[in-house]
Amino acid sequence: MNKNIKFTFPAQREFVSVARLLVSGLAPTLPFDEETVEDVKIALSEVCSTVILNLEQQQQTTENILLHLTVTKDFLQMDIDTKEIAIDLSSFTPLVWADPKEPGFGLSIVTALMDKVEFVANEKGQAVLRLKKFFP
Amino acid sequence: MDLKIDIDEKDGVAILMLDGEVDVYTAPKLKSRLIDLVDQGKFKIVVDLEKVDFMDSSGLGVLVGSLKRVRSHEGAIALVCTQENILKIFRITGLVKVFPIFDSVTQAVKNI
Repeated sequence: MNKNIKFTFPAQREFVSVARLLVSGLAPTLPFDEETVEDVKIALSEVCSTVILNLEQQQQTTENILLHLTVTKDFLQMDIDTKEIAIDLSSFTPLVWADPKEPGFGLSIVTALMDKVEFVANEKGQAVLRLKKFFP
Repeated sequence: MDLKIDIDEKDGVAILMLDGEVDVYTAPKLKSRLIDLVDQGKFKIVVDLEKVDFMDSSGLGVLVGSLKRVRSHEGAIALVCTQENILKIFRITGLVKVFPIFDSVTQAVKNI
Protein backbone atom coordinates (compact mmCIF):
# COMPACT_ATOMS: atom_id res chain seq x y z
CA MET A 1 0.00 0.00 0.00
CA ASN A 2 1.30 3.41 -0.96
CA LYS A 3 2.07 5.96 1.72
CA ASN A 4 1.08 9.53 0.98
CA ILE A 5 2.38 12.65 2.69
CA LYS A 6 1.07 16.05 1.68
CA PHE A 7 2.71 19.24 2.86
CA THR A 8 1.67 22.74 1.93
CA PHE A 9 4.03 25.61 2.60
CA PRO A 10 4.31 29.27 1.61
CA ALA A 11 6.22 29.85 -1.62
CA GLN A 12 8.91 31.76 0.21
CA ARG A 13 12.63 31.17 0.33
CA GLU A 14 12.85 30.48 4.05
CA PHE A 15 10.52 27.49 3.77
CA VAL A 16 12.66 25.48 1.33
CA SER A 17 14.68 24.15 4.26
CA VAL A 18 11.44 22.95 5.86
CA ALA A 19 10.65 20.92 2.73
CA ARG A 20 14.11 19.35 2.97
CA LEU A 21 13.47 18.53 6.62
CA LEU A 22 10.39 16.60 5.56
CA VAL A 23 12.58 14.34 3.43
CA SER A 24 15.05 13.96 6.30
CA GLY A 25 12.23 12.93 8.59
CA LEU A 26 10.98 10.40 6.11
CA ALA A 27 14.44 9.00 5.40
CA PRO A 28 14.51 6.28 8.10
CA THR A 29 11.44 4.69 6.49
CA LEU A 30 13.07 4.57 3.04
CA PRO A 31 15.58 1.99 1.76
CA PHE A 32 17.95 4.73 0.60
CA ASP A 33 21.47 5.16 1.86
CA GLU A 34 22.50 8.46 3.39
CA GLU A 35 24.03 9.76 0.15
CA THR A 36 20.83 9.14 -1.82
CA VAL A 37 18.75 10.91 0.80
CA GLU A 38 21.03 13.93 0.37
CA ASP A 39 20.59 13.69 -3.40
CA VAL A 40 16.81 13.73 -3.02
CA LYS A 41 17.01 16.74 -0.71
CA ILE A 42 19.17 18.64 -3.20
CA ALA A 43 16.80 17.86 -6.10
CA LEU A 44 13.77 18.92 -4.08
CA SER A 45 15.52 22.09 -2.99
CA GLU A 46 16.38 22.93 -6.60
CA VAL A 47 12.79 22.56 -7.77
CA CYS A 48 11.24 24.45 -4.86
CA SER A 49 13.79 27.25 -5.24
CA THR A 50 13.08 27.57 -8.94
CA VAL A 51 9.35 27.70 -8.38
CA ILE A 52 9.76 30.37 -5.69
CA LEU A 53 12.11 32.47 -7.82
CA ASN A 54 9.65 32.24 -10.72
CA LEU A 55 6.83 33.37 -8.45
CA GLU A 56 8.96 36.22 -7.10
CA GLN A 57 9.56 37.41 -10.64
CA GLN A 58 5.82 37.35 -11.21
CA GLN A 59 5.34 39.09 -7.85
CA GLN A 60 3.15 36.26 -6.61
CA THR A 61 4.81 35.45 -3.33
CA THR A 62 1.50 34.79 -1.62
CA GLU A 63 1.27 31.46 -3.40
CA ASN A 64 1.60 28.13 -1.65
CA ILE A 65 3.51 25.10 -2.84
CA LEU A 66 1.94 21.70 -2.40
CA LEU A 67 4.51 18.96 -1.97
CA HIS A 68 3.02 15.49 -2.34
CA LEU A 69 5.33 12.60 -1.44
CA THR A 70 4.28 9.09 -2.39
CA VAL A 71 6.19 6.07 -1.16
CA THR A 72 5.48 2.90 -3.10
CA LYS A 73 7.23 -0.46 -2.80
CA ASP A 74 9.47 0.54 -5.71
CA PHE A 75 10.13 4.26 -5.53
CA LEU A 76 9.75 7.63 -3.86
CA GLN A 77 7.76 10.12 -5.88
CA MET A 78 7.64 13.86 -5.22
CA ASP A 79 5.04 16.05 -6.89
CA ILE A 80 5.63 19.79 -6.69
CA ASP A 81 2.44 21.67 -7.40
CA THR A 82 1.57 25.32 -7.37
CA LYS A 83 -2.13 25.86 -7.55
CA GLU A 84 -2.27 28.60 -10.10
CA ILE A 85 1.13 28.91 -11.70
CA ALA A 86 2.29 26.50 -14.38
CA ILE A 87 5.89 25.43 -13.97
CA ASP A 88 7.92 25.60 -17.10
CA LEU A 89 10.87 23.23 -16.97
CA SER A 90 12.68 25.30 -19.58
CA SER A 91 12.73 28.15 -17.10
CA PHE A 92 15.03 26.30 -14.72
CA THR A 93 18.29 27.50 -16.14
CA PRO A 94 17.70 31.15 -16.98
CA LEU A 95 15.50 31.99 -14.04
CA VAL A 96 17.44 30.50 -11.17
CA TRP A 97 19.35 33.74 -11.04
CA ALA A 98 18.10 36.75 -12.88
CA ASP A 99 21.64 38.08 -13.09
CA PRO A 100 23.12 36.53 -16.26
CA LYS A 101 26.52 36.60 -14.58
CA GLU A 102 25.24 33.92 -12.22
CA PRO A 103 23.96 31.07 -14.36
CA GLY A 104 21.58 28.47 -13.05
CA PHE A 105 22.62 24.86 -12.70
CA GLY A 106 19.37 23.58 -11.25
CA LEU A 107 18.11 21.46 -14.10
CA SER A 108 21.36 19.59 -14.65
CA ILE A 109 21.53 18.80 -10.95
CA VAL A 110 17.91 17.62 -10.72
CA THR A 111 18.14 15.38 -13.78
CA ALA A 112 21.45 13.94 -12.61
CA LEU A 113 20.26 13.13 -9.12
CA MET A 114 16.75 11.83 -9.83
CA ASP A 115 15.76 8.82 -11.93
CA LYS A 116 12.84 10.54 -13.61
CA VAL A 117 11.80 14.18 -14.04
CA GLU A 118 8.54 14.85 -15.82
CA PHE A 119 5.42 16.96 -15.94
CA VAL A 120 2.07 15.41 -15.12
CA ALA A 121 -1.38 16.94 -14.85
CA ASN A 122 -3.05 17.40 -11.49
CA GLU A 123 -6.77 16.82 -10.97
CA LYS A 124 -7.44 20.30 -12.37
CA GLY A 125 -5.40 19.62 -15.48
CA GLN A 126 -2.59 21.91 -14.35
CA ALA A 127 1.06 20.99 -14.75
CA VAL A 128 2.78 19.40 -11.78
CA LEU A 129 6.48 18.65 -11.73
CA ARG A 130 7.12 15.04 -10.71
CA LEU A 131 10.45 13.72 -9.47
CA LYS A 132 10.95 10.01 -9.01
CA LYS A 133 13.72 8.02 -7.35
CA PHE A 134 13.64 4.23 -7.48
CA PHE A 135 14.70 2.15 -4.52
CA PRO A 136 17.84 0.03 -4.91
CA MET B 1 18.53 27.20 9.43
CA ASP B 2 21.12 29.86 8.90
CA LEU B 3 24.47 30.49 7.31
CA LYS B 4 27.27 31.84 9.44
CA ILE B 5 30.08 33.56 7.59
CA ASP B 6 33.42 34.41 9.22
CA ILE B 7 36.14 36.26 7.36
CA ASP B 8 39.86 35.99 7.94
CA GLU B 9 42.93 36.96 5.97
CA LYS B 10 46.23 35.21 5.45
CA ASP B 11 49.12 36.23 3.19
CA GLY B 12 46.88 38.76 1.45
CA VAL B 13 44.23 36.16 0.71
CA ALA B 14 40.71 36.64 2.09
CA ILE B 15 39.26 33.51 3.64
CA LEU B 16 35.51 33.03 3.96
CA MET B 17 34.57 30.29 6.41
CA LEU B 18 30.99 29.15 5.91
CA ASP B 19 29.03 27.26 8.54
CA GLY B 20 25.49 26.09 7.82
CA GLU B 21 23.36 25.67 4.73
CA VAL B 22 23.67 27.51 1.41
CA ASP B 23 20.36 27.59 -0.41
CA VAL B 24 18.00 30.06 -2.05
CA TYR B 25 17.37 31.75 1.33
CA THR B 26 20.96 32.12 2.53
CA ALA B 27 22.79 32.51 -0.80
CA PRO B 28 22.09 36.28 -1.00
CA LYS B 29 23.98 36.69 2.29
CA LEU B 30 26.99 34.90 0.79
CA LYS B 31 26.71 36.97 -2.37
CA SER B 32 26.66 40.18 -0.34
CA ARG B 33 29.78 39.24 1.64
CA LEU B 34 31.67 38.29 -1.51
CA ILE B 35 30.70 41.54 -3.23
CA ASP B 36 31.87 43.44 -0.13
CA LEU B 37 35.27 41.74 -0.34
CA VAL B 38 35.67 42.59 -4.01
CA ASP B 39 34.66 46.19 -3.28
CA GLN B 40 37.39 46.25 -0.63
CA GLY B 41 39.94 45.20 -3.23
CA LYS B 42 40.19 41.57 -2.14
CA PHE B 43 40.53 39.68 -5.39
CA LYS B 44 42.08 36.48 -4.09
CA ILE B 45 39.50 34.61 -2.05
CA VAL B 46 39.38 31.18 -0.44
CA VAL B 47 35.92 29.87 0.41
CA ASP B 48 36.02 27.19 3.08
CA LEU B 49 33.04 24.83 2.66
CA GLU B 50 34.11 22.27 5.25
CA LYS B 51 31.32 23.21 7.67
CA VAL B 52 28.62 23.52 5.02
CA ASP B 53 25.89 20.97 5.67
CA PHE B 54 23.97 21.59 2.47
CA MET B 55 24.50 23.44 -0.78
CA ASP B 56 22.44 23.60 -3.96
CA SER B 57 22.72 25.55 -7.20
CA SER B 58 21.92 28.81 -5.41
CA GLY B 59 25.38 28.62 -3.85
CA LEU B 60 27.01 27.57 -7.10
CA GLY B 61 25.49 30.56 -8.87
CA VAL B 62 26.91 32.94 -6.28
CA LEU B 63 30.38 31.38 -6.48
CA VAL B 64 30.43 31.52 -10.28
CA GLY B 65 29.23 35.12 -10.29
CA SER B 66 31.90 36.05 -7.77
CA LEU B 67 34.58 34.24 -9.75
CA LYS B 68 33.72 36.37 -12.77
CA ARG B 69 33.98 39.49 -10.65
CA VAL B 70 37.41 38.68 -9.21
CA ARG B 71 38.73 37.47 -12.57
CA SER B 72 37.95 40.87 -14.05
CA HIS B 73 40.56 42.11 -11.55
CA GLU B 74 42.94 39.23 -12.33
CA GLY B 75 41.91 37.56 -9.10
CA ALA B 76 40.90 34.02 -8.23
CA ILE B 77 38.63 31.97 -5.99
CA ALA B 78 39.70 28.65 -4.50
CA LEU B 79 37.50 26.30 -2.51
CA VAL B 80 38.18 24.07 0.45
CA CYS B 81 35.98 21.01 0.48
CA THR B 82 36.36 17.33 1.30
CA GLN B 83 32.68 16.48 1.76
CA GLU B 84 31.44 14.12 -0.91
CA ASN B 85 27.85 15.42 -0.88
CA ILE B 86 29.08 18.96 -1.63
CA LEU B 87 31.76 17.89 -4.13
CA LYS B 88 29.12 15.94 -6.02
CA ILE B 89 27.23 19.02 -7.21
CA PHE B 90 30.49 20.58 -8.41
CA ARG B 91 31.17 17.41 -10.42
CA ILE B 92 27.64 17.21 -11.86
CA THR B 93 27.80 20.79 -13.09
CA GLY B 94 31.39 20.55 -14.34
CA LEU B 95 32.52 23.22 -11.91
CA VAL B 96 35.39 21.05 -10.67
CA LYS B 97 37.13 22.26 -13.82
CA VAL B 98 36.40 25.89 -12.98
CA PHE B 99 37.28 26.08 -9.28
CA PRO B 100 40.49 24.73 -7.79
CA ILE B 101 39.36 22.63 -4.80
CA PHE B 102 41.71 21.84 -1.93
CA ASP B 103 41.63 19.70 1.20
CA SER B 104 42.69 22.49 3.55
CA VAL B 105 42.74 26.25 3.86
CA THR B 106 46.54 26.17 4.10
CA GLN B 107 46.81 24.41 0.75
CA ALA B 108 44.28 26.73 -0.84
CA VAL B 109 46.05 29.90 0.35
CA LYS B 110 49.39 28.54 -0.81
CA ASN B 111 48.16 27.64 -4.31
CA ILE B 112 45.66 30.34 -5.19
